[in-house]
Amino acid sequence: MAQGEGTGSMSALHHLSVAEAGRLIGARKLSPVELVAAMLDRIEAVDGRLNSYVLVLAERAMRAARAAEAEIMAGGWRGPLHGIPFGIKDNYHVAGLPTTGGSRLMQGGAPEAETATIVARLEQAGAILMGKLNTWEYGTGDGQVYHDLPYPVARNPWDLARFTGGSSTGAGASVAGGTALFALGSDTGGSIRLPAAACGLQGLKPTFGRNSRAACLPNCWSLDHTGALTWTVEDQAIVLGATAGHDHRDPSSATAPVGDYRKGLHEGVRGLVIGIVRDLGDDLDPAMREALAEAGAQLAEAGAILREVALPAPLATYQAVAWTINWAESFSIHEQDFLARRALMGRALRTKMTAGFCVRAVDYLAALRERRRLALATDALVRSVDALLLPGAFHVAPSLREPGTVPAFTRDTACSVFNLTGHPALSLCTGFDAGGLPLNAQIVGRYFDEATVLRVAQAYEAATPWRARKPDLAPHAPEPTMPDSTPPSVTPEQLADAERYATRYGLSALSRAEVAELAALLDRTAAAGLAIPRQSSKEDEPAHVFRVPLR
Amino acid sequence: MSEEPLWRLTVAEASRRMAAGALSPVDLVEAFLDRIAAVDARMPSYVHVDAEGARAAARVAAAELAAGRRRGPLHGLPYAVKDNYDVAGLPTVANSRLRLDHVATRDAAPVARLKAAGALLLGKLSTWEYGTGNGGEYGDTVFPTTRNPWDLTRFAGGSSIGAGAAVAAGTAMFALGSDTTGSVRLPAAACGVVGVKATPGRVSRHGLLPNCWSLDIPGPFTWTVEDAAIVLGAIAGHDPADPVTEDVPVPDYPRRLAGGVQGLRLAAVTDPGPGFPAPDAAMAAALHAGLDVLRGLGATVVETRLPVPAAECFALSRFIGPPESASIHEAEYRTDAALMGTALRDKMHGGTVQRAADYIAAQRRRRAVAEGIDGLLSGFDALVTFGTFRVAPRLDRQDEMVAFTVETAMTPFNLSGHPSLVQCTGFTPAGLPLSWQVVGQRFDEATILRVAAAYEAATPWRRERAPVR
Repeated sequence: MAQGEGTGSMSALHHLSVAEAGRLIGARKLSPVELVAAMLDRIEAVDGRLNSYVLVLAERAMRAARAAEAEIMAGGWRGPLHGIPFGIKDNYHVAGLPTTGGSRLMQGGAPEAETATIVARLEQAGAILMGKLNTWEYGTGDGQVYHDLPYPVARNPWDLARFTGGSSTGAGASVAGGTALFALGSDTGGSIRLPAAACGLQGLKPTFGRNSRAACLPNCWSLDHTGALTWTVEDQAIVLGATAGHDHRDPSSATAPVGDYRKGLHEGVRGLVIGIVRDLGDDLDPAMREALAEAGAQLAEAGAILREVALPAPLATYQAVAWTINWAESFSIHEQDFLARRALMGRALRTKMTAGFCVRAVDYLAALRERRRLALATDALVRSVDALLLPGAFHVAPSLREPGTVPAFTRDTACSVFNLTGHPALSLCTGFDAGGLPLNAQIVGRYFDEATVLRVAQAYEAATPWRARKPDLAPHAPEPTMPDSTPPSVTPEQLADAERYATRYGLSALSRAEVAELAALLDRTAAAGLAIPRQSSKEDEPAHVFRVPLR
Repeated sequence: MSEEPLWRLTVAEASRRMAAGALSPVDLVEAFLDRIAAVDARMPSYVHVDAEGARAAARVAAAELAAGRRRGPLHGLPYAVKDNYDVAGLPTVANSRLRLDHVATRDAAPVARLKAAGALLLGKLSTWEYGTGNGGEYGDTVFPTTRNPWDLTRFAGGSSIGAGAAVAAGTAMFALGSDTTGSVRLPAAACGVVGVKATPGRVSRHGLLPNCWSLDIPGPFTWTVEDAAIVLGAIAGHDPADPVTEDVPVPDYPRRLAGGVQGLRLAAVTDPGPGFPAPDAAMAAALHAGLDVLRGLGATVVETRLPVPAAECFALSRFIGPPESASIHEAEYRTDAALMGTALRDKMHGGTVQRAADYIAAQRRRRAVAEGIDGLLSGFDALVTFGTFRVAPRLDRQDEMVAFTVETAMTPFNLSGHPSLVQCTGFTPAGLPLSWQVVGQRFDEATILRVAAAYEAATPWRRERAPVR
């Protein structure tokens, strides 16, 4: 099944787009059994070095494929997802299967009782679940890869020495590497869009509330979004059409009507006003900057009206607000485990938990208040145009052999902006750098206007050759280099303060390195909290305030 | 007409006379200004009396009446607001040295609604600094504390300290306060009047100095339940300026008062659970006697328990209120903490160092409290329980004032978002008011008013106003 690699040939079933495969299956030119078998072969052949899956459901998938085949042969074709193999990040529950969240804390857990709503909707549409995909522990971390989780880190199909982007690491690896035709990830500060960016995919974080989060492990209630990583924009339209819609099981789920996302997909961008945000500081890779400009030019050539715009606040403000909310809510979610079973956590999660342990309530509240202001101001910008075009990840995928470069990939992005504001945001592949690594930009739309986001992305995708290029998997994944684990340097006074703080809030038996890290994070979280702008009016309230009836 | 002084009139009675042309807004305002002049120096309930403003408004109201344009049941009736409500042109000092120079440029939403309804503002009522504190009185804020008109050596309840006293003593026909963890119902209890904390989202908070976004609720103080129904109806309703207000219809509360409690299913909580000392015997006796009254009127009363003890609810509120207050007043706390009174400063100290983890944990637990009480209430028309556990304490007993404020059955319903009211259930032999709390399903203020009205009609406690002694 290795034939066709690197050429984008239709003969490689594992590199079919969802739309292509769906057309072939609908026309009875391709059997779901054949397709699933090909995917299983592909997984068998490459996943030992790709590490996209943590659990492959070969028998379950083959059973589903046979059922799909029979149904289709009997005239019961359900639509474009019928018989399409997909994977899900292992923070989605599936009834009867364990969920590990990529964590030692959930190893050997009981099978779950419920299936995540959007997984169930995809299965209802006939899609075939291939397995659970790799993830950063609990879908989060501190940006570094420490190689201390129960599953080896997923590798980037474009260069197996490189990181896939997190936290939906396996989702990025699988769709780019051909071990799933599409994948579900989850996005709190970029965790769908970053792997999509690093792996050359289209990754959509829909509007907050568009996709249900029910029966997906929470990471941060107020910022978590669910969504898919796909090879093409059309595939996004197909998958979103199946996953979107109100779900009474998710109190944040929206009742806004779901459109037919494929309907206007090919209408082009003529006359659309697209705001382009070029200046987000000096951290953006030059190749990203050029690709963004070229994408703007492409869209202009296709008839869009390009307008130079700027975000209404410095990127650093959005980031400080997002991190403070994320640290605090994540800590609340995992507090018991952190206090009682901290040693089972990987270092990336433990570091984030330690940060959350430090955040003051007033800084969390300041972040929620600033979030309201940022969301309103950003929405005014988004409503002044039809869509925004701006950088997503600022860097190409970093090498796991240069661990010092890894955290910057997660840190230097404009992704969390739209977790805070709730606007739909798609990471679009905008080509490749000189080394063959994927470039990306974000397309952002108005609330619940995923249709326009997809339409713009489709126009760009159709006008550029990038979807024809497929990764050529190297035969071996190089050994990674371990990141520096030297504890931060802190003064004895800071250590003593940290010890007292830990004891006061019920944290005991810390190692010296942990105390040093706590000491450093007490300062860092305080600085982040104080960096959040304060509101001029006492009446400017937090973004979410208790209201009844409870939802 | 009777010889009863005009300041003793209820809202309902004054309204009837106003409609009949038997009462002039000008005379009514003068009667209240006279009453204020006669007794308020001893309490005092006001921090600012806007005599000229009230007289001018009364003349306009009278002219409108003369022209046949009566705006509604509150037309021409004098009231006052806690000094954390903005009234355009008046200072909102909120008993803080930090706001001595403040002059409001807009009306708070409830004030604007009352103005549109033709009510006449007499002035601003005394409050704890920023409508909050730690339960103690330290004598270190801008204005002297209000004294309880039933016994001037005693506490009037906080934080709306002037509002309960004003209505009990007749220095205002009705008043508006605000309730975060009892600040309407505590003074109502201490002063023997009706105080309503509506469902969050029922009354706009726009233009009130915030104390805790997720708990604050504006609410009325009145002498009778019928008056509360009239005033609540006037201030309730959706307001786009307050993101928490719900766009749900406001019932005609006065019309829904009739009907009694015959056939209603009422939950009774006579044991507020572990964690707090037992309520005073007199308070408990009044609760039991009141439940007998309701049974006698035909209600089915079923003893039950709160899903989460009142003491635990109060403890939870301590992880929500202080950090939100600390966020609200953060800039002032950083630069001018020395200008804050002890009670507020103490709260700021605590709120500033609190962890986000504990705030979030409290808000998560709050959801369980809310769902638990929702579940309890789903089988009943209303719930009757204690409000405060004690009568108003002496002002020289700091510990008793803190206990009065803290040890109550009020916070569960702030956390859960259920409407509740406090009303008088009698008096101790020393003449101090007793009280209870009636709680309803969300947005069903109508039923708790109906229950309270039935009880009030069957009992003699509305005969005498406070003697101001």
